Amino acid sequence: MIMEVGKYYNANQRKIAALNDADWKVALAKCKAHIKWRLKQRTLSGAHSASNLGSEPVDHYLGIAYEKILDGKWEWKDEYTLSQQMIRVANSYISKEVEKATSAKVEALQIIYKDVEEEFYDLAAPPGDDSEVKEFETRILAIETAVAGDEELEFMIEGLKEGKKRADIAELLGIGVRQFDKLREKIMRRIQNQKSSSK
Amino acid sequence: MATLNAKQVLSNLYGLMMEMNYHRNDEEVLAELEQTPDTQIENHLLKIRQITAKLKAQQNKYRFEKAIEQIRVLKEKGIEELKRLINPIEQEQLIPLFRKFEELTSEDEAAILEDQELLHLLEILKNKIDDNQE
Repeated sequence: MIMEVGKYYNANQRKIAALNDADWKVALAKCKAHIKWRLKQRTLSGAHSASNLGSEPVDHYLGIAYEKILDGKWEWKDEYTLSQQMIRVANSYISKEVEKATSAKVEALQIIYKDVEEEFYDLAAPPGDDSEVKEFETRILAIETAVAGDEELEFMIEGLKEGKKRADIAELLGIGVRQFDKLREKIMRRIQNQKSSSK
Repeated sequence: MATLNAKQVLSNLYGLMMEMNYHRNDEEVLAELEQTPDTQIENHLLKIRQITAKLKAQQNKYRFEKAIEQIRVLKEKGIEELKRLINPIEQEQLIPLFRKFEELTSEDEAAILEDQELLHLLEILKNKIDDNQE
């Protein structure tokens, strides 16, 4: 089957020619992590159950992210690294799926382009009924239990409850953002351990 | 500050994970992959290599077909006609290439894309014809 190329093919290929396997692996790993978190976030509002896509969702969006850059249908902009550009492509396609899923329920959404860095903390629609409220409260309680005893992580959750973002919480903790980022692994491990022990 | 509802807090937690991931250091990500290889990523890397090779082959074929088509059009015009399109100084510079062009047989066609000088001549001639037609 012939693959059609887009208008950015030559420009993208010039950048792609300078890449090695390690560059691709890093970009794939970061884009994959982004897709997983974004899908989790979107699932809160009912869009993106695994069944509404043809293939496994992470594979689906990860594939789109590099295919669009390889075939030049999306421009790899000079200001972004490969991973940042791939994240933007994947994010845009995830948003389009959500739009399709929600358009049946609400009026046609006005399409306003927002950059991915502004979309990390998208406002979730308020919980629907009492059982949904209870379900989310139970999930937050489980996370609070998982981080209990670790002051930095407890502080992180408190910050999130107040709508604070990465730089704000790091500042309140009196640490740099890079140091704060190291808490990512710690909180994921804590939550994972708690899930395993509760099974 | 007002406390957000539990659903928004969860959403913000996922947002924070995305923001941290976005700014992650590449060396750290690579070190993690070396320690714990990810088969899903390896599979996609393989697919990237396949797509890259396929697109490259496809583009080479397209460029080749375009060059052959250009040669056919130019040959139909005749060498003398083409020579008239360029000035004497250009002619002097391009005469060796004209000989190459005149002697071009279909057996040579496969080597056309390797011959940057000949492709350059084709480009010049094509532009001259286009200018002449305007």
